[in-house]
Amino acid sequence: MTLSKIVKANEDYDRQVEASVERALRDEAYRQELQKAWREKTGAIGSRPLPTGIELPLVAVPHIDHPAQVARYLGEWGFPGEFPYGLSIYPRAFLIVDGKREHEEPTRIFAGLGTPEMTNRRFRYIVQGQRSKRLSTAFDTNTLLGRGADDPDYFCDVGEGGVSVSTYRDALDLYDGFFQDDVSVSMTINGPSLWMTAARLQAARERGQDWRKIRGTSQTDPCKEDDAQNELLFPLDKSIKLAMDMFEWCAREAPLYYPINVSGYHIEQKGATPMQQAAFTLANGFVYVEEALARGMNVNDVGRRLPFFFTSGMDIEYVALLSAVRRVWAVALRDAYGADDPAAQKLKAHVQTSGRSLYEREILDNISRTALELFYALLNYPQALHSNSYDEPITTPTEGAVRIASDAQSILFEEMGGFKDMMGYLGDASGRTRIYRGLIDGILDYFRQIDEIGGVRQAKAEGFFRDEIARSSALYGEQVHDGTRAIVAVNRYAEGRQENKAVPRVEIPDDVKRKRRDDVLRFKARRDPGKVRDGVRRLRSAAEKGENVFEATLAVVKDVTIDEWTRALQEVYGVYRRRI
Amino acid sequence: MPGNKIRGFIGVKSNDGHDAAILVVADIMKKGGIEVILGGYDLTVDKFVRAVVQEGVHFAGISSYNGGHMPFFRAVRDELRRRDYPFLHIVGGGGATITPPEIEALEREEGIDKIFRSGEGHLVAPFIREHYDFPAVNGHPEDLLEGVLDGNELAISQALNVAEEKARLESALEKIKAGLDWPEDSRAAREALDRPLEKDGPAAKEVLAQVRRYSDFLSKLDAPAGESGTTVYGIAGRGGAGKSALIDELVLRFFKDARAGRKKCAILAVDPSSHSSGGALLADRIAYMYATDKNWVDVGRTYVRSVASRGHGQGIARALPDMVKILKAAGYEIFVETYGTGQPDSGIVGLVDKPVFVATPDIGGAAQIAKEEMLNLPGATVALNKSELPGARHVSSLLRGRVAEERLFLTTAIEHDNAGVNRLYRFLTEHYS
Ligand code: B12
Ligand SMILES: Nc1nc2c(ncn2[C@@H]2O[C@H](COP(=O)(O)OP(=O)(O)O)[C@@H](O)[C@H]2O)c(=O)[nH]1
Ligand SMILES: [Mg+2]
Repeated sequence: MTLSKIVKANEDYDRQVEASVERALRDEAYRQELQKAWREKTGAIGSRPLPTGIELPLVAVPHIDHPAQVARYLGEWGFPGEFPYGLSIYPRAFLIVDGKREHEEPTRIFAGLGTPEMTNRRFRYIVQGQRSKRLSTAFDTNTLLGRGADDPDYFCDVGEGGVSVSTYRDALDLYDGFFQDDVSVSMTINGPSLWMTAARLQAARERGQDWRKIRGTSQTDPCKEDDAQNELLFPLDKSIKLAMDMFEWCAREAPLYYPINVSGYHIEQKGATPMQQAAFTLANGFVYVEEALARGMNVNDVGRRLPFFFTSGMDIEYVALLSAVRRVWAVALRDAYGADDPAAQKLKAHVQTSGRSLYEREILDNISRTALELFYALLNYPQALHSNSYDEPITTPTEGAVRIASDAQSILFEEMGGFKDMMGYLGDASGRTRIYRGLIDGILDYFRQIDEIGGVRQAKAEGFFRDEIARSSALYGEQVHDGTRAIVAVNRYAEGRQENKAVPRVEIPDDVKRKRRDDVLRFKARRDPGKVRDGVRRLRSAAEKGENVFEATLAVVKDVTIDEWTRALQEVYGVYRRRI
Repeated sequence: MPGNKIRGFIGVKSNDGHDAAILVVADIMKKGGIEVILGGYDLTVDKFVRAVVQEGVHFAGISSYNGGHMPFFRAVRDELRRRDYPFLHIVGGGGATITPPEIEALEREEGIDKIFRSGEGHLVAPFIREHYDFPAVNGHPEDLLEGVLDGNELAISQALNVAEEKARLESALEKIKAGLDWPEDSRAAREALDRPLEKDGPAAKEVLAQVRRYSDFLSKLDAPAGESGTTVYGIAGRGGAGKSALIDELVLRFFKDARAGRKKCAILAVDPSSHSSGGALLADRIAYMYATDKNWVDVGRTYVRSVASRGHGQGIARALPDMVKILKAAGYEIFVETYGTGQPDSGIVGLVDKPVFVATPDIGGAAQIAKEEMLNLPGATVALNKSELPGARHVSSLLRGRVAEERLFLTTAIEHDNAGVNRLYRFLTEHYS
């Protein structure tokens, strides 16, 4: 799969913008037209007075004299909420007008630890006092790799760093009290994502929820697993097939659910530059677009259902990273794929501050870093936002640290003047515009390189993504070491700094792990062995015949545990072949 | 003795895919003149310890981020101790997830040599060179004989070290004779150089004596005349052709094949050394997914050893013939993976019973194919791997001009149960002569 048509659509679009600027200089009628349009747009904005007496428009618009500038602004950035969505996909986003916010607050807190019951309690704590119920689930590594809590080789990892889920029963316990239509649940899981999603869907149905109303996301992005996170269970092409099985099924049966979340975060955390993050993630996204189209899905249905996930970090590129990505996507979907529904052209994104930018020394400095990264993220108007806790380098966040991280968002949204007062108040600032442009050009340039290798799949197979990321990761390390990249208290003003001693590490005691193991063993022992056998057979047969494996998974998930599901499919597909 | 060549094995603990750090660390080690075997991520204690023992390394490096590191470090240490592994040297790291009190406990009480913290990457190579510069052979080689014949992994591993040491000392002697420097850049090498070495001086004599001792031992492992023993398969081809994947698939079939009975399988994977540093990054082991996983094969009957070429060329290492001999004596069927540089890999032809050349659809046109030496040998056997990629049909018809139809296999090693690999396996085990 090559990216040439995406490159071409974007190049053509740039030419169109230039042409309309030119035309605005030459063609009087066109000038009139633009001026009229501009007056209409800006006239409808509305304003409010600040206590100091400034009359503040609700949406920031540039002070433009010449229609050619209007043409450039509208073409390059677009009005907030308008094509090519450089500024925002929503016209008003985080504005608070008359005490009311236009959109729900984007805060999402990632949580998960120990047993399903423990995590359920944590969820209840988190949603206290929140208007919207948005849960984000972290799983332990056994679960992420399709292993049961009863696997003796991996006992020490049970419940560490995330919640352990091995059986259908666990899914019921984990989301107990949250099987409601107004709850959105995001699940950060990839390899066994079909099993986990099926378990949640079946649990929801058992508790009376209608699949057509169920909300949430599961990550299920095998491409970035191959690039960065290393949690694939089956060869990449089979993993993509599985993801698409679920994608296709959800579009039909659970239309509010997002089964794939195209993730750049992991790529960047592994060490990629912001540019690599942007280019590789988009390239991965287009893999899914093409796969879905090859299955005969409608491009509008596809584009709408592929949300993204990016980092916001300390590098200046983050001031406009998401904006640039959105613009490339919008033009590609509209002009290269013919998606005429704006919902498909609008790239939705979750943004998380950078974990790798946080350090152990003078650990409270991480609060400042995270707050600034949040600010960069917000300038791009993401749809959801996660702020890391200051103890990120050490441990799964402790409760106090989570609260501070979440407060940082509320401070930016509600306390600090800016996002609540005026939409896009720094939107087309000249520095941001320059970076936006540079990123778009850089992304397209990477696309051309990828095509030279033979397209996305080929470039991945040849290790191009992984090699590029590794190179950047090594370079980053060297820069920190030789001081060309300043890290305060690490390689600047480092003398006499306090080493961290205060932060307690969250640890799961052995008796909790044993209880988990025993629960799973008990679940397994109590099942009807015939049903398990049939379930495994059904899965294998679906895989062998190339049928929709998600449907088969839904049918068997109450009986077949996560590890059994994994093994059954590995017997057919083989294992993912690891590499450097 | 000439400065020792230090070898290490590093990997990430079970259920942990945070491999960014070991990739950085492996690079640092390679540049620091160390031969580092990269085990990849998500290694159980058993996989980890098996690798350390089989590779016969001077030190083991553990990376851990996802928690559970304390029991993991302890378990690796205890298991190495239980298996009487002679070089109990463990280092590790995990950013800040290993806390200062834990580091103190690991270093002071738990027998872990050093934990490297965030920003201490640059200390890794100097630490290793300072602390692990000792000979890879522990004790008297003669004592290993029985163990090798019994198939004891530890004895085999030490014997393989003897073979590598012998080859290294022989190269060193040749260099002394030619009036060149010691090949290694380490403390001992520099010290040795401080004393002027004459051709027949005492240091050179010492080296010579050591080589004789090693040779004597290795000659005891020569197969009795007329005894064919086990089969040695040679898999050659350019880097990235899929040699490791193919070998892994073949090993998996071996274990599914009822005819193979209780046979054992070893892999010798050769990768190039760095010319500038003398170090090497040996990463084939990562690709042997099935061969090292007890959920797929009987890992008690597989043995994987990574070998650095140490400048030998021709896709092999100087020690390779001896290493093959040792593993044969221990009763293994052997797969030798040689690295390709685009140059001929015929170094293995004389060494193995059944050579296979792995080509890919991007091998080039007719002129390029004509240059591949292995293809031009009589009876050449070729796997055209990645045969699902565009261009495979064209290349396969070009190859048919040079290779007999029944000796050309279109394989896709990344596909499970691939028909081409099945055919190759049958050919290798039944018909190849
Ligand atoms: C990058 C990163 C990721 C990347 C990993 C990419 C990759 N393939 O490596 C991604 C985004 C994919 C990821 C995913 C996850 N992560 Co993560 N990740 C990190 C992060 C931000 C940095 C770690 C890193 O690679 N640093 C860069 C390296 C080069 O530098 P360093 O750590 O300082 O290491 C130096 C030394 O320690 C030493 N060293 C390290 N190892 C070794 C080994 C040897 C032998 C030697 C000699 C030296 C040595 O040398 C290094 C170079 O100077 C940390 C938090 C943090 N800020 O540290 C979390 C962190 C490790 N992750 C964490 C978690 C929980 C996860 C997930 C489980 C989340 C989830 N539930 O989905 C997954 C699991 C992924 C998996 N497959 O296992 C937790 C672990 C919590 C705990 N232990 O309690 C952390 C601490 C974040 C947090 N607070 O939640 N993660
Ligand atoms: N597309 C494709 N990729 C393959 C095939 N066989 C191996 N690979 C991949 O090619 C890369 C190199 O494989 P590897 O076995 O390490 O090659 P080696 O250097 O020759 O040992 C890995 O990423 C493999 O997963 C194949 O048949 N098709
Ligand atoms: Mg290889």
